[in-house]
Amino acid sequence: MTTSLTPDAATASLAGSAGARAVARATTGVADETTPDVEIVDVTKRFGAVTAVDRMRLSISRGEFYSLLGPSGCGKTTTLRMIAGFEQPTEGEIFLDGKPIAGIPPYRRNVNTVFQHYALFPHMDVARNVGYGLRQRKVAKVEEARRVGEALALVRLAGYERRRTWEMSGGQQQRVALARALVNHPTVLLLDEPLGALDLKLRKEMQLELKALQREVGITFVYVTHDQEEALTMSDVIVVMRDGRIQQQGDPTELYECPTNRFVADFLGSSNFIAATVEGVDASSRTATVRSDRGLVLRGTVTDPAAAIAAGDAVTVATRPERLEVRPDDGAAPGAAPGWTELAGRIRQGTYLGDHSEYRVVTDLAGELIVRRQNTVGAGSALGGGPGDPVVVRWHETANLILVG
Amino acid sequence: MATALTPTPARTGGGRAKSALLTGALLLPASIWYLFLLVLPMGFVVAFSFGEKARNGGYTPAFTLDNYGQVMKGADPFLESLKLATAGTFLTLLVALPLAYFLATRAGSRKGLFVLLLVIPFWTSFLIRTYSWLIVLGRGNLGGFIGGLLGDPNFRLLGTPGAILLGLVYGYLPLMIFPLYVTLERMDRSLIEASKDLGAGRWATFRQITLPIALPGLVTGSILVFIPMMGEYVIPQILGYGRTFLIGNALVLDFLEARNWPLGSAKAVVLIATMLITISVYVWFVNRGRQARGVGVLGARPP
Amino acid sequence: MADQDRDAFMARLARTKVNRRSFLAAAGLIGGGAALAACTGSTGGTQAPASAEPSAAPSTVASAAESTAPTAAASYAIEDELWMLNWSGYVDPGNMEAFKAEYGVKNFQYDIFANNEELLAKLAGGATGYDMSCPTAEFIPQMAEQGYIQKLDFSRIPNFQYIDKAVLSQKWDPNNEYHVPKDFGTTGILYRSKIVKEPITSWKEFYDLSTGKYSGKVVLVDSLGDVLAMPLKMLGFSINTIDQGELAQAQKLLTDLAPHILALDSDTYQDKLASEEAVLCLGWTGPLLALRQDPKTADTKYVVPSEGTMFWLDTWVMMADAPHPNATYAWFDYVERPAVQAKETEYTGYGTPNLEAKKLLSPDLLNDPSIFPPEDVMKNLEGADPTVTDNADRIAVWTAFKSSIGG
Repeated sequence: MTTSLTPDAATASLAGSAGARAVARATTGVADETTPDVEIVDVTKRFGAVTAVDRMRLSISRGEFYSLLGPSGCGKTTTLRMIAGFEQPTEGEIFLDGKPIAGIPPYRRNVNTVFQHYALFPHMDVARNVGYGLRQRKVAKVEEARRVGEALALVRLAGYERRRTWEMSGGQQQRVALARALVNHPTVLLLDEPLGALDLKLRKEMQLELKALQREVGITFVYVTHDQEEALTMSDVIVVMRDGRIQQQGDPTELYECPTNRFVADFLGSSNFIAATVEGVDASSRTATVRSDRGLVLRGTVTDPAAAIAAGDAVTVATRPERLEVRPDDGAAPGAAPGWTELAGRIRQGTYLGDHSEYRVVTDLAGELIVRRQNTVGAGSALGGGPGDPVVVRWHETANLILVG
Repeated sequence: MATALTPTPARTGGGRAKSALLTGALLLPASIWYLFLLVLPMGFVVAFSFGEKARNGGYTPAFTLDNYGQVMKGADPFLESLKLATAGTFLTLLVALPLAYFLATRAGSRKGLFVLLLVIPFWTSFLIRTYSWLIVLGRGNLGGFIGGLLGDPNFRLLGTPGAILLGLVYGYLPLMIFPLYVTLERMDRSLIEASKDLGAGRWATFRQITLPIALPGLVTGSILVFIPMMGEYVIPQILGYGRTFLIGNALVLDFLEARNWPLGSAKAVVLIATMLITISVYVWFVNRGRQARGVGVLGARPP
Repeated sequence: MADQDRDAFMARLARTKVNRRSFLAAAGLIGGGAALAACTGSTGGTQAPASAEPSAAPSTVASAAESTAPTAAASYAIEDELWMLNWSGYVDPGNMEAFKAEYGVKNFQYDIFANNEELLAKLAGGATGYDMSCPTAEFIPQMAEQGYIQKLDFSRIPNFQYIDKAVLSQKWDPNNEYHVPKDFGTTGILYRSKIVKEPITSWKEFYDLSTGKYSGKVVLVDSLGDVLAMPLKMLGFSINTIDQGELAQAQKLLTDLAPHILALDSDTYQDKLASEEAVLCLGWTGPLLALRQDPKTADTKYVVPSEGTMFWLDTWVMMADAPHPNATYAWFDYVERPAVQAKETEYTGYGTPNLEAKKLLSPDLLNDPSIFPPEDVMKNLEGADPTVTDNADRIAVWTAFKSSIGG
């Protein structure tokens, strides 16, 4: 707590937890009248020389579906385990329901976890598994049976009480694990990549089911995943993490449409990146004009509201492949309409992917660009031709995202 | 599927025969071993137990139940051995369980070192190790020291039931630790976290999760320890000063001294039966309620 | 302190020949003493290679040596091999080397057994190729009956004449057909005279002190025949009795003794004496030399009780299918040469029945009544009768006694 405090953090710690919450809310920009369920205030976790979580600050609102998204080793699971109580923060403080939880063991926290490999107790049947938490609280037998029945009905496993867990399918085991956690009515439900072990089709089904379930029970979910699609499907808020730090957080649309840095733009979906230098900035519209290293001039939106940029700054322009259009080069002179960029190039590789096709096009001014084209009329909408064929690529300036750093 | 299979019955049959052959080949050495070193000798023992002692000792074929009648009249050595083996198994379990738990969950990267330290003494002959306790517990050392504290010059540790139990626990500890260690080691650590996550404290978790899951190892270890303890007579002889008359002593006396093979055989049969019954009762006891849910110790296990 | 204890302990173990009634040996735990007595020097294995001998001269030297030896063995062709199955460390290696040199025997194999039961088991298991062995006498009838050993031609063992008639014509070989006596010993009383000041000369005194002043400091060897000898001789009966009335009286004495017993121990009773945990012991002479050599336990005394006691005799026997009978006869005769036998006695520390050899012994050894009891005690000694060892009534007395000591 004493070293390397940012001014904000210093203020927060001086102002106490209420102040800290206010600061946290202001930075996340989430408008919520109630007390956040979980607040992580300047939390750092070190394992020896490795810093797993680095001065993290996050406020998780009541009743929302949060995803912690990032590659392995980004600190998302460590964060989850600190909320659950399996790890203690090296620095900083975590508040659960407004109360600091440092030193409170996992079994006294009103938080439940769905583990990656379910962690169902092999020596207990489904009902005993689900009722485990209730029994620890000395809930009466009749009451236990009633609530277990309810929880199983909730996950569509009514009637499976006496089944052996290890005889069930992965999806069913997953639901047992969910029921076992939900039956305790936790303040927050933590989910540690719970769908990782399922096959793709089942995973997609479960994603929707989980989201629906979360709506139904209204409990705050904190969901750890490295799968961007999973995060986009289910989350109210996605928190992208890398190397122990939060890169960006927001709702799925915001994150996809408006990534604030290159990592987020690349990790969530894919992007074409063009290195450039700022030529002019329009502060009011937060747009900028930049020139690429090869002389291509582009105009685009500066995505990071906190970024202060000026002429001469090095930036990266990101464009989503589906925002680019491609057509065979008909020999007509490239006469671009206002706001549009049009470049001639040659196909290096074309890949038919069923619902869409993907082309790698080499251009003189922007290097290699990935273009995605929806196959709206089936294979007929494919370009035809092959490597080396001349094409024209064009896109509108609204597709240009100017990223700092 | 059915149509695909019908045209090739010969190949399927051939494959099956081949696999049966392989199964047979794999089981052959063990089968021969068991046949000649277990089944056959056991058969002899059972057959002898109904015979009569030959004039100069040994065995003459006959059919009589007299031997069993005699065994029943002198049940004391059986009870002595049963008492000793039960107490010894229980004590060994008490020592082994925390140690195995520590090794499996808390030893970390030093696990290998600890296991090695545990095993090293067993590279020495069993006899030397048992004799070593004579020195450690003797009057020159621990026994005399405690005697000095108590102010009793005649105090001794050796030649007491305590010394025997100590020797038993020491001698058979690894047989108990390793099955326990293996089950605990194999146990999914997230089960413990799940239990705590669901509101169970340390002890509640140990009782409800760790212990039941370690139960197969515990039962295996107990059986591995109990059986040799039942037949044990070297440790009672050395550390117990030969003051107890156990079933092992009785067998030696019958076979070597009395040369009454039929009586000795009858005792051996009763000993084996005693152990089988005790173990069955024990397994039944720990399995109560578990079998119904298909998670019995010696029943089906998760795939 | 502990180190010295341990060293002394190991030294005693190493020097003590495995007891004929060793509990541990019976349990198969001491492989011919190899486990514990590994440093006795002559334990098992093959002898030193022939190249170590100065000149392995065949027939010429043999006949030259023969002229000095009072034997007619040379009229037979001595084979150049000799295979022996014996207790560990029970023959002077020097004598073996000298024999090899004299008779041109190239390979004198010394294989070991831990106890008589093991010897029988080895033979029953088909161990062949051995010329001779060394069982305790009471096993002779059984070995003869089962055809393991052959009758001896005593005309080829002239030195047999030196054997004391007192040990011959016993129940185990009434007509003296099968064996040449090797060593004998007695079952008697060991005690620490530093502590036990009372003179002990009889079983009666031993018994009274055991049940009285030295209660709880008494160790007995764990051997039916030896322990039973005490009450029976006290009562004036034969140690081999199977009379139920006599046995009942003996049982009464033993039952009264039981609560005073510290240990039944055939293997380490010497250590209990050494540590003074026990001061009275019914045991054998085996560990006596070692105890006396240690200044701390030099006060240990051995008494052959005046009422008489049991004696044991180890014997040379020839296997029925001995491949080298001539060399075997040569050895039997050689080893009974007084000078050779005297060296054997110095080596083993056990009493020799060879009267001429006794004359060559050092006075220390010769005048030790624990090794060579006086004439009047000698005549009260009794050998074990092999036909009564499995007597059910005797077994019952023993079982009752052991059970009454209590853990």
